[in-house]
Amino acid sequence: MAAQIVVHLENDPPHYEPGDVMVAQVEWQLPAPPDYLQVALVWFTRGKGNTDHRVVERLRIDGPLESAGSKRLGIQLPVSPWSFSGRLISLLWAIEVTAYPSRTRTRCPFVMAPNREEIRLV
Amino acid sequence: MVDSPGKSTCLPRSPADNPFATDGIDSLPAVLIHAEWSQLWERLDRLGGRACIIGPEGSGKSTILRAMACQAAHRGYRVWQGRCRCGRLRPAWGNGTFTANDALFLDSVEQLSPRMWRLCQKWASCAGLAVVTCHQPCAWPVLYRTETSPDLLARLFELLAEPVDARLHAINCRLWHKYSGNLRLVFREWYERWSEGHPAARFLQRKTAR
Repeated sequence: MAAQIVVHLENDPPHYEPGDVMVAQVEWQLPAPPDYLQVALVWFTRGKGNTDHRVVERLRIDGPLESAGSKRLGIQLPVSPWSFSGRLISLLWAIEVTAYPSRTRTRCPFVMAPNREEIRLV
Repeated sequence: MVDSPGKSTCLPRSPADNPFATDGIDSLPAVLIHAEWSQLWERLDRLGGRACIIGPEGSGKSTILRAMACQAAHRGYRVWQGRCRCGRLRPAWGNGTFTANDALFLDSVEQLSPRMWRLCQKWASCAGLAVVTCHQPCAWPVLYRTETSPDLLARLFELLAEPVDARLHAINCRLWHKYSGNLRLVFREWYERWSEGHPAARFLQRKTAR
């Protein structure tokens, strides 16, 4: 069985205002029960040149856990930085979920900016 | 000027979707040409655990050094990685008291000052392993000479972007010659081409399963 972790965000499309409370459903199906799952709220840059990556908050889904299961989480988003794309880099937000000890991991990107729209720097 | 996404066809394409963004390039695997990893480690043993990787810019020296550092960690060594810039070593390695259990991996030692290079050689004499990269042969024996080829470029390109066809391979071959085998510069040009919506790059997408 292929290891799988899926994150469903309540907003569709997954766009949020700064400071919103995000509701996320984490579902996992793993070959063996994980000790715990770590949920990280992160932002990172992607594009040309050096990249940045910051973990804003870490949560744990603690055991005892079954090899397959789900958990609903409410996550308070900060007020900055906002999602944007310029010519050289984009700043992206994501929820990253990692199962331990297998380190099976998934990343679920979302947008966080005023009016729920990524800022474009032209 | 601030605008909203998806409302104008004149907007540049998002760096987040660029197949040739730095995170993709950095995640490319280290590929040895005409050698196996086991042969590299055997050779390092024969050289007394101190050697250098040499090659021109953009030929994969740093990538191979990082891969060796990762493999050294799996072999039980305590790994120290550093990059040399403007005469200094980053991050700093403190007082440099190393033992046979330590493995040192230093990138771009040609950028060290003579004093710092002497210090690093002193540290290396205490460590179990020490591998450095430089553009030209240094005081240490050569472990591996990096090189690239159009075939290697084609393999790496297919790890970054899709769909890839014969026309793209032909363009890659031209770019490889244009930049004298410097793959970093080739991918930088692809980054710009994709960003500007160049006809050859317009339909390329980031490979999802990397």
